[in-house]
Amino acid sequence: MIYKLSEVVVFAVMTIASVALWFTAEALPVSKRYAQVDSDLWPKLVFGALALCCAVHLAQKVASLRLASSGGPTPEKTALKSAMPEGYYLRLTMTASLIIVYFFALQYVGFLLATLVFLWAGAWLMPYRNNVAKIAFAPIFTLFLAAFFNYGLSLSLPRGTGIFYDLSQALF
Amino acid sequence: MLDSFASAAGYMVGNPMSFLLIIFSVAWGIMFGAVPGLTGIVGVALLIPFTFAFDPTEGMLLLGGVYVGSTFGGSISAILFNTPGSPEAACTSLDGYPMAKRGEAGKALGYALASSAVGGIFGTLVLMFAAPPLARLALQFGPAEYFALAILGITAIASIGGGSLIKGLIAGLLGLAVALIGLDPLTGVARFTFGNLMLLTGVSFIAAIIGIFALAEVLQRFADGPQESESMPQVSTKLPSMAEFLATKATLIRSSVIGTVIGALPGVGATTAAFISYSEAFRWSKHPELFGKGSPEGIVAPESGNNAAVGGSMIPLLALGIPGSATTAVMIGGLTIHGIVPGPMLMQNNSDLVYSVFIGMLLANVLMLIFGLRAARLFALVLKAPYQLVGPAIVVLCMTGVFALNNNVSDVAIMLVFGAVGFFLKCYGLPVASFIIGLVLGPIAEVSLRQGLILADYELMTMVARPIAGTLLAFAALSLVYGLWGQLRRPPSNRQTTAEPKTT
Repeated sequence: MIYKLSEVVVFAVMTIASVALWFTAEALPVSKRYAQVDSDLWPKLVFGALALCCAVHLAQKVASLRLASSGGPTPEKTALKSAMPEGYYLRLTMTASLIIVYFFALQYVGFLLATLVFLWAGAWLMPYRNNVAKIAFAPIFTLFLAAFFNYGLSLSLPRGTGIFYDLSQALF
Repeated sequence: MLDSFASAAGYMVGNPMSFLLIIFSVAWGIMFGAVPGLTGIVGVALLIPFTFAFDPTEGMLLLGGVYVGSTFGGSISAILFNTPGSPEAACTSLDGYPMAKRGEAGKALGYALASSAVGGIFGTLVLMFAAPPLARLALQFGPAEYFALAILGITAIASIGGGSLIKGLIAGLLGLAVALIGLDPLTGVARFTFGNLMLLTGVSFIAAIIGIFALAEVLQRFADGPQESESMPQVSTKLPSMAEFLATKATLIRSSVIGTVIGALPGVGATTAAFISYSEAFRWSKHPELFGKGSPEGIVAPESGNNAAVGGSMIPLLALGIPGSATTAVMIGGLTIHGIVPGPMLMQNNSDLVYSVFIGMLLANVLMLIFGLRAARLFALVLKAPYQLVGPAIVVLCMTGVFALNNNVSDVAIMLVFGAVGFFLKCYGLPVASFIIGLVLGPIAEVSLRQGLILADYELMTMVARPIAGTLLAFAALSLVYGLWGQLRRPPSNRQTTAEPKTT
């Protein structure tokens, strides 16, 4: 039921956003030279069609939600229930957070340190018994990748800022 | 022509170095294709300075081999990790990865390899024997024809929806909407950037596809937790049997022709060829319900299409001096630093070079079969490692590759956003294939529609009544009707597959 509700909310938001973006296109600066094929021509077609499709789909979802609440057949519900394993949202949040932290760490801490810590942390997100592999993999992979990009391909990697930049400069 | 062939063959036989260069370049290309973010363009660009050390023919053999190898290389990581190594392999993920997930990684790689070789050889043969007439045909393609071609591809988005027409349309329109971000190509007006300067150049396609496929997959796998059933027991490359391969012959021929023709069109390259080949394969398939679930046709179509486009994109380069793709645009640099000007006179003044490149590309396609088997086995070893280690490593590789592309963190940010978009599409059963088709073909459709209308004095009928454009549009309408008819004709149970949260 929560999934169905979220579907209704998502497609309602998409319908409203499409309409809003249609008006954003309408407000684009006008070019006299290209008046008949101006910047808003294609965006209006796209967002108009998108708003229409989202509205139709939203109506379908609302109808199915009403059917479900009135005790009608809901084949989707059981399929969805089995599709969400226990701890799904916790693991999802942790993985997404770790990736975002890694993204910022790359810029401020630099590739070597950020990657090393990210790989170590990532290895503990899901159960895996081989602790030696967990500990050894991160430094080996990080050094291999740094060597490959820096010396093999002469492509630069993020070096961080401040003291981390100096450290990166000293190392590669 | 035969004299030129004999002379070029004589040069190749008398110059063993050229064979060594082809071997090296194919291996180099496969490696660059397979690593996400490091595309064939980067592989070619990095080797250009080294061509100084060789004569022009050897230099071109080197660059041509990389181009051939990288076009296939992208499919290895696309199939094994759902991480397209190069943009043209994005389509291969759609069916390659599901096939690998059900324990047939070897077969999926085999299909990709065999169809890549067939498509590549077909494209090269067309390049050898029909370059001048095909180049003339390409020159007849104006905005109206490009628009019709884009519409032909876009009409498929309605059909690819796991049985749900409306979901296919929504995903495709979302792709078209994302493609609108950036400067208007005609007026230069910033659209939908909301004051963000890094969006002025639009959404980086490579960053977007890596996010949608690879990052979304890692998020999904980690959220799902450890699942024994998702291990890939058979990972060695096994070519499909002749009977299995012949079952896809119609798709193979159609996609090779589409790939060669689209490759020959300046401005649209292997990626467009792969997606239009995939769309048409889906539309004409006897089993469209299997697409997105590991259909062999879904692998054969984009792989033969994008590899045929390699030969095709060399046609305008060698015959007219116009690059047919981004990679051939870089290759022009390789030619000009040796004082060779590509164009109509090239085939007369430097026939040895041109025909040596033809022979070299044929050899490169054959070598690709050998190296592809080896490289895939090497990559497949990674699958034996647990996902707890491989998953974060994929994230690192994607971020590093995307960063190295332009030395720009904003591309990495775009990749992260599209990782979330990919996850959202999966969650709500919106087909990724339709989204990507919209993203690839949207800009072509928009620009060519507006340019075509200007040229036709804003008369839509005048624009679409041109012979090639009209034929393509009629074909698009017919195939759309055929596709919808096929969808309606199927029993209701097949129409709506209940894989809602995980539809590819």
